[in-house]
Amino acid sequence: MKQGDGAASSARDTELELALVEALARMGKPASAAELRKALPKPFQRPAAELTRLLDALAKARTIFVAAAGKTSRYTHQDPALRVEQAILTALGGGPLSRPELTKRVKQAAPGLEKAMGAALNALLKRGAVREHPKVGKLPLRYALDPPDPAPFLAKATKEIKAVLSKLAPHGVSLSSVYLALGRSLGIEGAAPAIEDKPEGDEGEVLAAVRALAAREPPGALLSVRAVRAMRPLEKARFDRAVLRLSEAGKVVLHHHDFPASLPAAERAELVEDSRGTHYIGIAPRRGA
Amino acid sequence: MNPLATLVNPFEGTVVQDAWSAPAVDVASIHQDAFEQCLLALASVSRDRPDSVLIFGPAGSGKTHLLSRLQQHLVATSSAAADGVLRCVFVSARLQTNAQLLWQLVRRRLATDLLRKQQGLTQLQRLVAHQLAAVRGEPPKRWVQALRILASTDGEFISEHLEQVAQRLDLGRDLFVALGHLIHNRFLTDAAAWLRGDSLPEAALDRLGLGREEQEDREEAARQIVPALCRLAGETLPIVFCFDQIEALQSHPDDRDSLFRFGRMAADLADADANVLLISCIQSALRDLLDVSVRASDRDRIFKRRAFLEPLTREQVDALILSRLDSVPELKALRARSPGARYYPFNERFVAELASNGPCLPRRVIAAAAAAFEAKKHGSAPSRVDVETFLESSFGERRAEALEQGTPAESRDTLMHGLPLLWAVRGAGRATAGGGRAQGIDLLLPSGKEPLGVTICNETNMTSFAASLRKLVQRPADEAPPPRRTVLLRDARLGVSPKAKRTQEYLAELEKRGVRLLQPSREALSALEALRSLLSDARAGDLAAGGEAVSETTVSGWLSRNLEDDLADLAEALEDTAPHEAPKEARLLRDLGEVMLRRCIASLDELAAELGRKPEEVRAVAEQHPSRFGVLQGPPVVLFAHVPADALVTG
Repeated sequence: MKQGDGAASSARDTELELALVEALARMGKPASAAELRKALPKPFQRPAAELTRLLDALAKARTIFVAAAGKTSRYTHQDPALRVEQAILTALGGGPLSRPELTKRVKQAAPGLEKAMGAALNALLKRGAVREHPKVGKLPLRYALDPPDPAPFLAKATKEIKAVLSKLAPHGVSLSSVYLALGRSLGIEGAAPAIEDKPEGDEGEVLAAVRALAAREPPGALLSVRAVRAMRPLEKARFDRAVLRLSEAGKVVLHHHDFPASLPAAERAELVEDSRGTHYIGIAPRRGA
Repeated sequence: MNPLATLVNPFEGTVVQDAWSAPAVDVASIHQDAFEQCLLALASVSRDRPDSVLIFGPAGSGKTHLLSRLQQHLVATSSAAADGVLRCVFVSARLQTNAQLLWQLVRRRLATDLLRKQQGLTQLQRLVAHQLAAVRGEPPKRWVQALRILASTDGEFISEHLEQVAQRLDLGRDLFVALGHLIHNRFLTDAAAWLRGDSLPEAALDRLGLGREEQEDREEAARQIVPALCRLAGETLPIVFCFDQIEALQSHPDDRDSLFRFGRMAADLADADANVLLISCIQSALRDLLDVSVRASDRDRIFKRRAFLEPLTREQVDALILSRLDSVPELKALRARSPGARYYPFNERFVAELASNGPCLPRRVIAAAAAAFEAKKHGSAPSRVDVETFLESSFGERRAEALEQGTPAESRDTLMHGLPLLWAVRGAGRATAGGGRAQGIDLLLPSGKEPLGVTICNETNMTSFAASLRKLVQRPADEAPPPRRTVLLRDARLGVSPKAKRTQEYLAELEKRGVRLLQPSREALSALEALRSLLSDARAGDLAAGGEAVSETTVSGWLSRNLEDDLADLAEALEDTAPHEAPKEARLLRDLGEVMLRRCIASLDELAAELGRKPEEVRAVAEQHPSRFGVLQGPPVVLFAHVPADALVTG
């Protein structure tokens, strides 16, 4: 073969590759080589085997993706896992959904990729980006971006506590005494445990501290992680975990320290450290969160 | 052929140098909140309500970019200004200086920015046009036009007006006179130098009609001039001060005093006029230190509003990548041919990864995209940036720039800020600015058993030079004694006139007491400038190799291992305890230096005759100082002033 032929062939392949990616994006759902062939302009309608070879090469380079491998592979221009994750997060943006409702919404947003939903949902649950809301009353198991509101789950217990209170009130037992007793039996010590025991646990405590500190500063202030830590003397690992979870959930913004190695170990320990070894020195409530 | 092979990488350049540089690409949604805070504050000062903004952000989050966006916004919306051009006076200062010289830096930046031209007139001229218009109840546009055409011919009315303003605002005679020259385009070079705070020779002061440099404390003089200029500007227009790289003021990472001084200076500026807006940018890492270093009452005045730069969201990463990709027209055309591949030549997964690799900062995103684009262009990933090579090249570039552009007026700042850093790099201990209570001492450098006192005397004006020497000679009885070892530093490009009788007398007296006059070479000053600039950028997080900030510790370690010979020689010369030239030889060296500054090249016999010394004495002194003089063997023997090759203008 002449050198010029090689270059011309390579140029033709590049053109065809671009045409394939463009066709996939136009179709908006996974397509097989045969379906793609039909969608291509006439000059690019090569034999299916040749198209499959090019599509597999593009998939290997991660320019496109294989949506369903098998006897007939189907291809897509977007990463199926990412696309489905985005579809799930968008769908849940409007509030909790049951599994069938969620599947329906994902099917609409990412047609042909619904089979990837199970794995994507599991990954999101594992990361804490999506929370499971257990079945309660007539409501089925649902999924949402925020943790479930414990109130419906406590309906029966609340009714019982109210009954206990009405029974004991004539004998001088106050509502706060019941709260204190309840707190002790749940393993929470100290004053006003019912108020401290926010549904979000450590995260709730830390968020409350951040908000309290932010209220003392001008709007938009970056707060000191050390100052927040001082307000909520949790054990370091618990505090760090809570802060990082709040950041993942989009409740707070974190600012990292560029050169934590320059700090003495004691000062460094006052910062929040994530699993990659990044140390955070500043924290602020995220706007709108 | 790879269609990307010949295209420019749209992700090149990750650091915005200063607020006056227009950013290559600007995505409005990024840091929109912080930007809006700046605009709200500007609107506030426009209504005579002083305001200020403190912006926090990690290295590479886009602090300088944000200031640059503000500057560009002011230009873009200038049609809303009364004269159609100037909405406010804009001043930007990167605080790369010794905190003892902070007011002088602000004065220099304010003067430089006031004299920046926009559409043929300086900010200062437009300012005066606004005032003239306000006095006469006429549109500013008319007076802008008038100043453009009539600046020199219709001087009387303008001068009269300026005089009234100077009296009303208590500007002082010298400032009024200098402003008059600058408005009327007279003696521009000298008048601008005076406004910047440079020392001027007597002849230049006489020509300008200015009084002698009686103010011996240049920092104090700057502290008076800057608020006066603010009052002048604030009469009709807001004045915006942007302070960047505040952390560069620190002489060491725990230095609180520098931040305290910054707080004091900024608070004084805030009090200077109701139309002053202060925008301060600082790294998040200094958040806690800033709180404990700046007085609470100062914080209330200079950090009224707060903003922080958030990490980028996925949408912002998308917008940033797409804007950059479309900023190269050829690439944009190529991308238009494949509308389905939204991120061509990248794919969605790559962009998603950029957004998920926290902390997601603009500089990191751009650097990662730059590397990926190079890989697409050349078929393989570019080799990783070696930090040592990067530092070597960065130091070399800065040194060359300083050698070519550095002036004697700047070398005081270089020495005051650079010497303590040099001492720290050498592991020789922390310097003390101000010399404790010893009068006339600028720096105390740790050296052996007792500190070394350094006085920097770069005055061009011999009266001021004599005044600074007098402080050392005539020490009041209640003052702390000066250090036993003291060195006077003077830029070698500044002579010591043999006719300056008092100066020569004071020098002779000090030399008798063991004080040495040392004139560092241009090479040493340029290397010191490169050192301080590199360390300051590193401290401020503005030094990045491959998108990752290079730490001050890394830079300091590299400088220590690769200390330039010129810097090592300078340090050695400063610490030298060996006996030095007798006063007679020292005088000959000064006189020879002064003559060579004027003549550049001359025969040995001519020089000996002019100096009234024997040729062999002159030759011996020249040969002892090869960094300043060259000797051609002859016959006849010729002496020439040494000029570093890199400083020669080429092309």
